[in-house]
Amino acid sequence: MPELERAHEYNFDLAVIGGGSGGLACAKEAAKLGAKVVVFDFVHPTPQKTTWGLGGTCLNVGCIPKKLMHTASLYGELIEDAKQYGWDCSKVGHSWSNMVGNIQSHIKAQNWKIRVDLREKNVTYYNEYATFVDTHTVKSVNKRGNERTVTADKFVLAMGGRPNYPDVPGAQDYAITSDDIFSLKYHPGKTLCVGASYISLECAGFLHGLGIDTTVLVRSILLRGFDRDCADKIGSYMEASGIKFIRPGTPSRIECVKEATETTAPELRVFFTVDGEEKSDTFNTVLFAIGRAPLTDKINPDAIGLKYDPNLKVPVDEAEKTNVDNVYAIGDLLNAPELTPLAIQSGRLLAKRLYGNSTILTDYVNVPTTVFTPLEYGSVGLSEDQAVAKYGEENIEVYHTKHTPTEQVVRESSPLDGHNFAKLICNKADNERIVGLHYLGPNAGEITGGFSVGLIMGATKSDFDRLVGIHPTSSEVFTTLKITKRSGLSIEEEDC
Amino acid sequence: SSGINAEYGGAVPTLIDFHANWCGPCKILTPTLKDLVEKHEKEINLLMVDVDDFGDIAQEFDVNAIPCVKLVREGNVVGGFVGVKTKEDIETLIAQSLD
Repeated sequence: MPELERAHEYNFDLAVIGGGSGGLACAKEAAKLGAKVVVFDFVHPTPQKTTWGLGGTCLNVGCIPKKLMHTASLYGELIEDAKQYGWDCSKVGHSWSNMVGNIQSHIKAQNWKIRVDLREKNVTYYNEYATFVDTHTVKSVNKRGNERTVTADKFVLAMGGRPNYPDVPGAQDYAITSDDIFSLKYHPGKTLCVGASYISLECAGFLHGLGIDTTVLVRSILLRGFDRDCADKIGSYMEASGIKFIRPGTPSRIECVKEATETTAPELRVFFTVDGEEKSDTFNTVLFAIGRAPLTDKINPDAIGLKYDPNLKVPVDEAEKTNVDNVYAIGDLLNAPELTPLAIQSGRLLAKRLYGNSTILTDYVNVPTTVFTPLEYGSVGLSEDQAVAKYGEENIEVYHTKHTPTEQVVRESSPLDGHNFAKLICNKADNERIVGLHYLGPNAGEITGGFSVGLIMGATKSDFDRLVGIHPTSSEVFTTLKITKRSGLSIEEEDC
Repeated sequence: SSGINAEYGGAVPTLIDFHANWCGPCKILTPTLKDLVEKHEKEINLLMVDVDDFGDIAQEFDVNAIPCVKLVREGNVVGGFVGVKTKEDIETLIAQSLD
């Protein structure tokens, strides 16, 4: 491809700091448009010395291994269902190390493919930790301590974030985070997940599904920011399935009773405060999922006068430009949903605007998402609380219902029943335009992803009513919603 | 790395087996190569290169997909292939390359 006409003397047109979902998409698109691009990526090992290759959080310690472990745990449920369908599943067990081995092989194959892909697309890659010297210069260091200096016309910050550890004695010495769980060399044993975030609940969910004794320690509410009805049902489902909740409680210290070995988890005594009283229990693994912090302060932002919030998020304009004219930021650094496809989209569109004369901006509204807890939760648009705050309660109409996936009819009655759920939130002042869609049930990602195009096209309740559903599926529930929350009518399921 | 230079520059043709522990097909090909080299002792050598440990060398030899085998003799790459092959096919390829 033709090289761009260069109006500068720097080493590169574009330097991308962070080789994750957003950074790589931006770099490759820019290179495709003729820019000379360099990507810096470097992972500082966790307190437990875990590290990983090129590709960022999603591939290595996020979406990908999470979905695979969630899937592994769902197979456990399906095996139980299979018995009802006539299969003989009497000799079934699970091997943590086989699962981790296969998942890590897949990840490492992808690390390799990404490196080859960057080479083929003429993107320079340095496995080095870059920090700013001035607005056109970074200094980078490799793992052996060798330094280099690189200059570039423009920079894209795409370093993302890392999990937080609490200020609790013993936490960094003995506890792990999501950075460690997906490559854990030993079986986790009895596990305590600390946090009420989707990360904590997803991890607790798949660990329990794999037969592991799992407890969740929560300070207050589950899944802050998500639709309250759905968050409550997720919690209730997880509890009904046997996951223990200590709520409200906070950890106060962690002591080591027996050290971990190459092949076995440690034995830890965890002290926590519940209702002002100190309690304790032993666990083999403690996993903190109490929040993530952007890596903004690690790139020497003061050298370029970069403005950032106290929580380290980087404010940008609608074109992802920071307060520094030649520096942009995308992905988890932003005050926006922390999602791979959003980072990829914004990375690509940014590159097209910088090097391809495009003017298209990224749309951050109506971005669908799915929480892969044992009861999966897909949503696009606003939660009920957000809709009420934005449009006023009198303008919001909520249609909702419970449902039972046909595949599950063979299951014996249990406390898990009655949690599958669907909700459409409409704006009565605008033709009952759908402002929020929420689904609890199997295949939430597939279903929500499909319906989301309706939301970005401005679908109304009557559009959903006009749609004829596919039977028997879970998705058809959105085509027959008739009970409103306002009516107070029961949504307990009737017989078909 | 010095091992590679020694083999690469030598008169005895050497098969360089670029592999990784996450690569399924590599686990199938490597024993075949070992059998073959054992059968043709002193006529052909085998050098194993893990691409995760020696990414730079893999890049130098233009390895983009694995398993990848390069046949080298006296400092030159004289042949090679990508993917799993039978022992007989590899023997034929080697014979053709060394002619």
